Amino acid sequence: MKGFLKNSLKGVIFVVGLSVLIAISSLAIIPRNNREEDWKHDVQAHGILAEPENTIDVLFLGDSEVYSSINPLRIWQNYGYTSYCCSSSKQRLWYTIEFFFMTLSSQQPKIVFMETNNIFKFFPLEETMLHAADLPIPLIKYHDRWKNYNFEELFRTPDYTHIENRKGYRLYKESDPADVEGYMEEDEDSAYISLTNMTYIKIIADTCRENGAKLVFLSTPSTKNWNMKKHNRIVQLSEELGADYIDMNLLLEEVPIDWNKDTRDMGDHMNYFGAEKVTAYLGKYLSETGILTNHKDDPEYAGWNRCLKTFTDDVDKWLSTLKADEAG
Amino acid sequence: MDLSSILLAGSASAMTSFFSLTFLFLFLPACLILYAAVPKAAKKYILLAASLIFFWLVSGFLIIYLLLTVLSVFLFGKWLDKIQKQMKAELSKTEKEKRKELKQQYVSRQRKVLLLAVLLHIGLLLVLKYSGFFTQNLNSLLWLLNAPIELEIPRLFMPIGISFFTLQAVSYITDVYHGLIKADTNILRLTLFMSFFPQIVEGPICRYSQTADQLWNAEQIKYKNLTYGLQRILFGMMKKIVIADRLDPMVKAIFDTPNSYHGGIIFLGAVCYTIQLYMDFSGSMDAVMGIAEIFGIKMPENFQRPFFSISISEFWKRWHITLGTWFKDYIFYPVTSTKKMKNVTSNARKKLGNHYGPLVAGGVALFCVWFCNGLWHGSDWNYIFFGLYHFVMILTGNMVTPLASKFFKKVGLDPNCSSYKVFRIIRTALFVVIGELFFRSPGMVRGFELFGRMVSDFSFMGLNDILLKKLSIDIQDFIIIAVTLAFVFIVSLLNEKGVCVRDQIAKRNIVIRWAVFYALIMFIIIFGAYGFGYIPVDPMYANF
Amino acid sequence: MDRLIEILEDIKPDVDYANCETLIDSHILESLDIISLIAELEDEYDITIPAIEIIPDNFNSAERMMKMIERLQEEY
Repeated sequence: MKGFLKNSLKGVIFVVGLSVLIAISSLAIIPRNNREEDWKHDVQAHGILAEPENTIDVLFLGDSEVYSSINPLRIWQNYGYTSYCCSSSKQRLWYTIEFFFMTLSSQQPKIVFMETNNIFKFFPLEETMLHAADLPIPLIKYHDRWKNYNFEELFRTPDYTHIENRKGYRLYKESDPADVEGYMEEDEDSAYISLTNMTYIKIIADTCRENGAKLVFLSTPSTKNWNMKKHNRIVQLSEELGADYIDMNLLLEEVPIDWNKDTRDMGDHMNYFGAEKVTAYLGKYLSETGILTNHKDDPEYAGWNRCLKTFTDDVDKWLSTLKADEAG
Repeated sequence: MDLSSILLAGSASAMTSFFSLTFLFLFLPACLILYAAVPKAAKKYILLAASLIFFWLVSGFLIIYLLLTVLSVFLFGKWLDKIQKQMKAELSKTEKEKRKELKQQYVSRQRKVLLLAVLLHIGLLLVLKYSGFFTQNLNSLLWLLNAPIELEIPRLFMPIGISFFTLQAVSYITDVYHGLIKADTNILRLTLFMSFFPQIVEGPICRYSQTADQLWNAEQIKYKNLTYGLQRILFGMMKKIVIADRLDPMVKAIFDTPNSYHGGIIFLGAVCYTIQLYMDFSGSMDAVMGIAEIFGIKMPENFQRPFFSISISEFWKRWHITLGTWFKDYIFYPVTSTKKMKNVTSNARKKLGNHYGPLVAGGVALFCVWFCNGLWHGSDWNYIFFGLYHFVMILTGNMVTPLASKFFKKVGLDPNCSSYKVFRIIRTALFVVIGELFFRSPGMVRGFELFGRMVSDFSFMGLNDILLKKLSIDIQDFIIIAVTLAFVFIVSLLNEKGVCVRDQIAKRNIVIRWAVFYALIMFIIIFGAYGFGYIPVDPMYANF
Repeated sequence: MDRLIEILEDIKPDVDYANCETLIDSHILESLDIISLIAELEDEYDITIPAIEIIPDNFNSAERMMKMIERLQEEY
């Protein structure tokens, strides 16, 4: 028994020592900036780190559906609300939750939108386990940075300088018509959400409640990804969690998607024109909640106006050439 | 529904690797804690339950095949046992003169039972593993003969580890037949022997006499075993995650589009593949041995620093040892021990002398062994070629040896001098690399194409460009692979010289001991090829 | 015993058969030598050596081989 206690104590000390070692290495290896070369990937979503503290009021989380269809600058233009798309291609919920907590470290969003497409995306336990370490043990996530590690970084604190001018939105100009056969056909069944995904959603919902943020589930229009089964399940889920739910796939009048023109890849994602319609509805929805402030004339938010100006200049130029092409 | 959907769907491969987080941080700790917590009498059942759950997680309902295999050999064992008991009883009643005849009768009855059992299990293995291959070749043949028939290629299920546990099953039943072991009276013990979870995926192939009793006599975890075992797992993990997995994208790129490379680069690919295979397989074996060691179980080693071998024949005594021994015990000696073969050997020895005499019978047996070895690795012609290549190498080696020693005597050189030894080691490694080139290539024809290009166009032109741009391997990758390989080499060299590195570490004070652990862990975390940008690589021998 | 060592010398010379105890484990006697050896032993001692007897334990030293031979002689 004495030997057992002694060995257990040794084990505990060993683990503590290892934790210290890992913590120190983590501090040494975490990226000092949010540029492409520091993060390597999903730089558009990580741009939120460079936004001034507590300036983002609305957060959009999700996969490619989000950055294809929601344009924060238009919301700013029309209502003066600040929002950001923390979305990345094929984002799974383990990544969603990472962006969520990352945002909370410097922002206090009043409304959090979860796009519903990735709620039904399955991923194995192995991935959950690997990424559970991403936030508490950054060493695991960024270990590969040894390849171009600069020892000057060692004594610098992180300073995020890369601002995303489009706030996570990605502009898609092309269009490719969708086949709407069977889209949103009546169905009594509801789809299945895996236990792992449920856990992530509940953590996000609880954290929203604790931080006084309103959680909204949002299904953006997509003929390929959305159906009634999934809709039914999210209706149940939003009731369970007391969250709002917007399914744009059923809002045929409010969000009048023209499936011949508004999708870039046969119904999978929106293009610019689809995004305009989705964003217009969202802006209206946000203003109706009455909990957001219009920062349009606040000098601290002057950056947003500059971003908007650059964006509209670009887009207007493109639209006018498009018109000219059509005319001539 | 939920549990299985989390653990099973899409993630089956996660559990087959002993270096997956799911296995290392969930499954194994759960087993260890339960195992340590229950009283001694219950420990074996924890091992058994863990093994069955593991197999179910990896293979789902195919666990039925494993269980049926166990049941079958159990019953065959009982049957043989019954005959043996009858024989004993009868023999004691019979007069001395008639005993021999009576014994012969019983032995022949036993032989029939054994034959039935072996045919059943090997037959099932052949059907499940090779029917696709056979129909494919039959189709080619029919096509050549202009026959207007095309057979459908069957897609049969393949329980993981079937190639490994079938061999264990056959060895068990054969050993019972020979009276080397008693038929097991407890089916649970036999199940544990057949299904022990660390070894079910990639071996080692154990014999009943080696592990069954150890497993059934499961003891409390000892502190020393725990630390030794963990250390070995870490060492294996380093081999697999730092070296093998880092080499994987490059090997894949070269073998996927070999037409775009010069021969020198194909050679480099074959060398890297050989390193990858060795690190992957022996690293996994280190994990298997380490896990078993924690439970206090000593398994037969599968590797003994094979790249120090001075001949191909020696190489195969040190690479995948348990497979080699299996073939030797259950194919090579039985074939050479048949009456006919013994006569052949006796006659040949009189005519050809001591060295070449046994080569006649030995050659036949060797052919059987290597044909089976090739086939065991996979159902394709390049695997069969791989086996026969080694057969030719070993046979040639044996024929040339006396000539070589005569030559050395004449010239007055010492064949045991170290420079010649180093030369032989490098030569052996080169032969192995060529074998692995065929082993890795998609099909035998492609293997010859690659080999042809390697010989005719041996140039490294454009290597730099290819490495950096096409294979996305940079200088840092090479440095880290080189450093780690150097470390593994030093450890191997010390072991080869008879220094037990692990005992040496254990003798040092706690600061050094812990520093070794910490260094290994941090090295793996930082320099492992995992996470963003890496595709997890399944253990390579799990598919054989 | 001397006769056995003579046989072994004949099959593979230059080995210290009297003292070596790891003839198999150290890969001194290879499988083809074993085949030769078995044929010779069977002739010399008038025994049959079945495949199952061919295990390292029986062949690692001259002494072990002698024990096996004596055992097999007794069986018939």
